[in-house]
Amino acid sequence: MTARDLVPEPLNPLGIDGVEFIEFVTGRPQALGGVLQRLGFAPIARHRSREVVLYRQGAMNLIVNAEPGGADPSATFVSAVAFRVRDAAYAMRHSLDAGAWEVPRRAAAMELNIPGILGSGESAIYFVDRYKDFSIYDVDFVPLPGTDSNPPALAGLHYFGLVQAVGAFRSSEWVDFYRQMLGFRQLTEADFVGILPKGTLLQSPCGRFYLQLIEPPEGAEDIHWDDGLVRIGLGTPDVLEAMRVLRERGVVFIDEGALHPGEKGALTQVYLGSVTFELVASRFAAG
Amino acid sequence: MDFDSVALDTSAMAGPLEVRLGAAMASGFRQVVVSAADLVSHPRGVDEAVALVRHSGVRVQALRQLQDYEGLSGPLHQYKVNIAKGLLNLCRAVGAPLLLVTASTVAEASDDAEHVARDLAKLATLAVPKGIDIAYQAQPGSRVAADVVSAEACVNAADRANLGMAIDTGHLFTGDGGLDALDRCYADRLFLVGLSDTIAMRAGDAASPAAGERTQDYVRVFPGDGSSAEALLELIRRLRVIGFHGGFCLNAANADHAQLPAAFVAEQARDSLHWLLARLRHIDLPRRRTPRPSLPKG
Repeated sequence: MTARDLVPEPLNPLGIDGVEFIEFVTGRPQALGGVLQRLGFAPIARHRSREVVLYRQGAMNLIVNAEPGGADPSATFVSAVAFRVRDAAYAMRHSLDAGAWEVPRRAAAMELNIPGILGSGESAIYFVDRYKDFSIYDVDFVPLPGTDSNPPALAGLHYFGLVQAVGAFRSSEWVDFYRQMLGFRQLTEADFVGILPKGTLLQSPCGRFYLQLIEPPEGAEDIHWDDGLVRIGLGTPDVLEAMRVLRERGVVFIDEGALHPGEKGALTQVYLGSVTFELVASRFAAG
Repeated sequence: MDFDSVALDTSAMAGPLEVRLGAAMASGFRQVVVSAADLVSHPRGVDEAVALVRHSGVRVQALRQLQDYEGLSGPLHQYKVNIAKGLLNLCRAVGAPLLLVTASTVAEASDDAEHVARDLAKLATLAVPKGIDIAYQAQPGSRVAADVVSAEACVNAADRANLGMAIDTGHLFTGDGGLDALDRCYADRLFLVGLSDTIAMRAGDAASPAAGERTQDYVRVFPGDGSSAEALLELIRRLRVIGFHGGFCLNAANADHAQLPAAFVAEQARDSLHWLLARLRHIDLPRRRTPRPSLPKG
């Protein structure tokens, strides 16, 4: 790594280079694992000392954290996203200077010293800079015997984005947050993708990951609406082919009301009371 | 403008927190502004105080207050950032969607407006994951934000969606520029207007022949009881014209109210609000935010 490499680009202050992993917290790891395997993720390693399993599909790493201690032991939710950055220490300093809250290290799934900041709800945003010639999972995880550590992606699936629920009238401040903290930029409605083109769409500075901010719908004051990461978007170059493959594996897509699966995208049914995935037409390769 | 949209600042009343909350509710108020000091100094501890407010049935409009935060450097800055974090957590716990911040008056605070704006932006960013708005209020004695115009300049320079202004009308009509100052503001980021009137009162020894040497001072009273009544009404009318959609709170903390029963002061506040509403019946001021009733996780 040269000194030049350490100088962040102006439009990508942290040198974000995609997503290293997304983490679920769950009190029902077996049930969630079943859903993930239907979606093409394979368990490949288990944490050395904790109730944590690493799933992988193509370039996607997904951590299922079943460590006890959450406020609601039966809940399953997206608890963290880890971005690949040029220099994690720099990313952390930059974030703290800008007004981030450092997440408590002991709450993290990884024992490796991965810096992270508080995101939406109780979720975390981690910074990982060792992903090219070193696997962060080698430190904390033991490979599961007899498994392929690099299971291929089904239908070119790859991480496309996350959907975040925000409070009423609070999208603008989250736009500020992601713009200042991570260098995301807000897209216009003309750039919207998927089958749920609403809310506010942000694109990562590397151009390969999106955040969709959704406020509670008007007239829904009685709906319980917690801030947090509510859905993972999976990109695929061919949504219809991906649907066909996933349906064969038992994945059910919603096809009712205004939601119709098609070339632009598809939404799975809700699993475990709160877990859904969205397929989105995406030109990026599975990596 | 209606009764339910106006909060009563509990610092205008004396007595234990539960007595003040009860007095506010008995007088018809459904929103209050609470002081962080009142929560943490509660005899049964801060958790009990938070539960007391949460279960009282009143909504907390704002928590007061972070002071002497911005414009500092080195360890002092870091110390104040930690204080701010503590208050933001308290906002979250008690269900206050707004943290009131008064401008720094300490000698160590920088007079560099860019420095102040940078610190305010940082505070606003800290507040985002907690779902809190920041309302910055001018303070006499501040080197950068002693009046509403300069405070607004700092807020605009920081440019964060959850950062706005708070106006204290008691200060606006005595130590600041009154309606003219408001007219010089864009006021598009006005989150909170603290409504109080004042009566001029000279401090010092009344028997002294050197009356001219006494300093001019003011006693803060509820709207309608002071000498700026018409100006206050005009201010609210002008807020309507410029599209204000923040919140109002009544605050008349003074030495007399501090030695009167909370119920008596709350009734004074109720009468004051009725006085305002009777004169502003046609004024419709929408709310900026929907309330945030959900309890924090964890």
